[in-house]
Amino acid sequence: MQPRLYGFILKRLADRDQTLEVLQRTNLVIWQKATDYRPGTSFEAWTFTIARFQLMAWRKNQSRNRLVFSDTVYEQIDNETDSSQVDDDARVSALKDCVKQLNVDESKLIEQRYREDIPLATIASTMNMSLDAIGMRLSRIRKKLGQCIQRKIQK
Amino acid sequence: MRDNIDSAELDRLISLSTDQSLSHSDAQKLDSILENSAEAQQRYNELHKTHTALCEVFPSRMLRDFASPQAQDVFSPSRMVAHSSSRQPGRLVPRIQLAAALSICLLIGLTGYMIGKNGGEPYVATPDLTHTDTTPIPKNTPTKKKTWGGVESTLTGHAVLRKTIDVSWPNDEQKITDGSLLPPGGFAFSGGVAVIDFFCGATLVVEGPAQLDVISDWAVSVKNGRIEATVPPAAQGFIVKAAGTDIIDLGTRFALDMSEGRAQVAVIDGEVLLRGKQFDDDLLQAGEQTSLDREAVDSEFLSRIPQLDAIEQQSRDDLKKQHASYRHFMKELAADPRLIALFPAEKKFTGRRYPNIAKTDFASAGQLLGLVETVPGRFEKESVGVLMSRPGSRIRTKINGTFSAYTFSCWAKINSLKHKYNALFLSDGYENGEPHWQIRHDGQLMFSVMVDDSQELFYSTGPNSPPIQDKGLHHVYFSDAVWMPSMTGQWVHLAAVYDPAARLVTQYVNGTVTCQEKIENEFVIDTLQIGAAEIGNWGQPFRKTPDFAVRNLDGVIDEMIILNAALSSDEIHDIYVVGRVH
Repeated sequence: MQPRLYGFILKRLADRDQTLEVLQRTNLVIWQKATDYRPGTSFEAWTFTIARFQLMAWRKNQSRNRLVFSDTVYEQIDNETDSSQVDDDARVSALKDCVKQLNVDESKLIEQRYREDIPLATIASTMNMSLDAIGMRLSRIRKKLGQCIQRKIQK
Repeated sequence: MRDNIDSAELDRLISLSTDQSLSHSDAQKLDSILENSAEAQQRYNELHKTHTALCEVFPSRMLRDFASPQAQDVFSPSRMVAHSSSRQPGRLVPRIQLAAALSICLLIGLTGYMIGKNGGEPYVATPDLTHTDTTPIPKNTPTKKKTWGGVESTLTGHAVLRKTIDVSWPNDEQKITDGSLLPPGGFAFSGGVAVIDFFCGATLVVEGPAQLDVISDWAVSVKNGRIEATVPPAAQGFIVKAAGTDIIDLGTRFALDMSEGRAQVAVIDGEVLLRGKQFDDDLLQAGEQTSLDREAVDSEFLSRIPQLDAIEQQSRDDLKKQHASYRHFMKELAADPRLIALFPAEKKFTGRRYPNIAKTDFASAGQLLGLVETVPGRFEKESVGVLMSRPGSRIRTKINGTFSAYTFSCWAKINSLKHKYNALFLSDGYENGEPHWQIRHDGQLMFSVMVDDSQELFYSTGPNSPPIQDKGLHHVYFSDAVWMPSMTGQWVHLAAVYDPAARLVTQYVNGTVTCQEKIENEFVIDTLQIGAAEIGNWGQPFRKTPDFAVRNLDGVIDEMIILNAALSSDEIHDIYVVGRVH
């Protein structure tokens, strides 16, 4: 649940640090409003609604300079229908197969970036590569995984 | 709208936004590209979906801790520094930190809260159960993690394959033995029945052809197969995902048929909740059945669902037949003139004598010493195994005569390799021509024969004891590691062949050669003997101090066979095949 909530917010803010702050605030409200939750409704949709309100409040209180997206683009992104829980499950399931196709170096980079959460600058320094080169490599791997997921889902 | 977007530039900006942070100018650039191109927006969405899925499959410590009861620790001031904005450190208020910490607990707690709050109401909130720790670590690879008390071993798995009955695996690589842990990921077989116990307490009886995806302790996805699920109260909330629907168990027994294009579910006892596709948290109660894909329900489908009781009875009957056949094989083998000793571990042996049924007269019966327990053997109640988990536990025998080659064969069910060396069969004095067959703590098989015990080497037995003469000239033939903790409780067939004539030592695991090594000239000895020896321990009655090396095997040894011959790989394979329990 947390990764999906994180992804939901990140997509709308395009900033990792701001996303973590809004995620914390969202979690706090979920806790405070737990008794308001209506059994029988989608829990995921309920948490996303809370996140949406927190995002609005966050944007309202930030200077425009700190926000990545203008109101226009924010609304475009926010209005786009988010994928359903079933689609997300299918994507995760496909991804688990797809990562098996990565070579050793690619797997290692994904592990370091995601599971170990090592800053890219540190990874770049350890591998004696430029930050841009590591960023591009990561981007290519994600693209490859995205294509693999698409193929598997379409099957 | 602008059609020709610079996709490389867009990818760079999206990567910056997910992995690092965008500069002001890059942020404006991304905003502008997305505003002017639907194609760019689509690409942005797709890359974010992949990024989110990666966060889920490889959850970072931070996201894992966000959803764990220990979340308070994550929000300790020192950690907050690590995770707060680098541009604006200290923006987060301690009050928010604490409250957020509490709020995180609820994401897990809310599930239990909702279940408890509802009482009998048909709702189970399932926010975290299906998506935690979906880590694609190679199956059953032991890992170590540091804890406050030192290094602790960990394994990967959400369920245990308790039993298989006549299961046909797609190939040998995908074969999974009974008792194995099932890590997250796919699990498929083309026929037979498998019984799977999930760590949450749910049990699935699955009849193939079946294709499952283990998601977590609490969830499994079923693409194909006929299934009966038994979910005790402790596992309430267990989810079976099938045909786009979540079947959420509220403490019950239900059947699912996902074979031959069907997708239907029936509740045998209790009730389940259906969520997704055409279902909106619909309750299905005992005696009710429905199709998950709007097709008509086949009223006969319950009769096709595997019944564990009947299957187990069939399995017991098969086991009896197989055991009878195996006994016949052992009886024939007992008359083989090449035999030195054969300890068949039959279920009836009296007192503490462990029968040797070899017709030759080289070896005495074994004597059970110390705290040895007789436990069900490989054929369950049909046979007996001897458990030697205490340091003083041993089966002692005396073998006279001289021999020209050795074959050792036994079945072992190892609980742990807790000593540096763990005995399979060791002669007492380890004098010239005497064998030592054991497993090292790291799972490597060791076979050796003393070549020249007159060469003086000394071995310390304790800090306050004088060293004793121990090893002379010999060579230890090692295999690679053949046992690891994930194999705990599994029966393994082991064999070692010492062939001085061919100058070869060959070791086998489950009927297959695991290592072969040439006997170099200096280590050749062709007059072999055993003398006093022990199964599962090492006796040193003539040592000069009270200290003794602890080498008892923490496990069960069955059917030790010793021959005065170097059996061929086909013969070893035959012993394995006729003795393995299906």
